[in-house]
Amino acid sequence: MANKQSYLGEFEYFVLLSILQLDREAYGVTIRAQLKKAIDRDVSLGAIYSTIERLEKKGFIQSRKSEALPERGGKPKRLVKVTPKGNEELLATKKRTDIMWEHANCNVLHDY
Amino acid sequence: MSILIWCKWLLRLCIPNHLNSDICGDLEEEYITITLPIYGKPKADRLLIKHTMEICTHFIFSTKNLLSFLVSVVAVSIFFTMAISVFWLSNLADISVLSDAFWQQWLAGNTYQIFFETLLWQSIPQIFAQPIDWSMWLYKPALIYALIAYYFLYKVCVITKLSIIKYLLIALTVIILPYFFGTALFLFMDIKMNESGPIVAFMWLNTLYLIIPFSYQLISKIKTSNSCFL
Repeated sequence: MANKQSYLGEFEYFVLLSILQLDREAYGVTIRAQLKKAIDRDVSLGAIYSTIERLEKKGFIQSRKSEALPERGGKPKRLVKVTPKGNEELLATKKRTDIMWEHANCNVLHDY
Repeated sequence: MSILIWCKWLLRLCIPNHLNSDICGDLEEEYITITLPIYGKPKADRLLIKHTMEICTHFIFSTKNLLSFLVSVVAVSIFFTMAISVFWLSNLADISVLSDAFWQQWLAGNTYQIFFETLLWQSIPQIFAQPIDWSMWLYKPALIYALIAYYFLYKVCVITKLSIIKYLLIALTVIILPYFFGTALFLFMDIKMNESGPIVAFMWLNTLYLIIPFSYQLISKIKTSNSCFL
C-alpha cells in the first residue's frame, strides 16, 4: 500500500517552496510574507506553524532556533530549511503535477 | 497595557505550549518591524487583533479539540441523565404516577423508556431541591464490575497500544454488557416488580461509574494520537 504521509498537500507544497526561496531566512514571518507576495495568499501564523510541524514530522524540513532578539520580545526565531528528502519530494510532486497537466484537456488553457 | 501584551496573553491561552515562543515572537516582530511603521498604530492594532483571532481560531477549532468536546458533551449528558434517573426512581414514593403501560415495558426489560417519561424531566427542579442520600448511587455488584472493567481496559491499554477506534469499541462493549445482561434477565426470567430494582441498578450504575473515566482516557488518546486507526 502506498505511504500516504509521503505525499504533499497543496499548502504544504507552497510552504516548502517558500522555504526553498527564502534559503537561510525562512521562519514564520518571512514565510507568511513570501506567500502573500508570491501567490497573494494571506495565511495565519497558526496555519504556517501547523504545516511546519507536519513537514518536520515527515522529515521534509529541519528547524533550529536562532539567538534571542529584542524586536521579538527576547524570543528566538525558529529557522527552517528543506532537507534532501524534502527536495526529492518537491521534485517528485512537480513531476507528478507536470504529468497531470500534460494529460489534461487543454481546452481549459485555451480559454485563458 | 498595550494591545500587543493582551494579544500575547490570549495566544498563550489558546496555542500549544511548544509553539508559544515561536508564534508570540513572530507576531511581535511582524507588529513592530512591519505593520506599525507601514500602517501606523490604529491600523496596525486592528491587524494585530485580527491576526491574533485567526491564530486562536485555528488552534481552538482543530479536529482534535472538536472531537474531545463532542466526547465530553456526550459523556456528561449520559452521566447526568443516569444520575437524575436513579435519584428520581429511588425517591419515587408512589409508583402509580407512572402508567401501567410504562411498568409493563419496564418488566419486559425496556427500562430505557424512563428517559422518555416527561414526568422525569418535569421533576428536575424538585430533584435538585431534595436532600441527597449519596448511598443511593452506591451498589456493590455494580462497583465491583466497574472496577474490574476499568482495570481490564487499563491493562489492555498498557499491554497493546490501542487505537482510538479500538478503545472506543472495547469501552462501549464493557459499558453496554451489564445492560444486555439485565435485559436478558427481564426477557428470560419472570422478574417481579420488587425484584427489578437491583437488576436495573446493576444495568445503569455501571454506566454511571465508567462513562467519565473511560471518556477521560478516550480524550487523552484523541489528544495524543495522530490517527483514529493507529
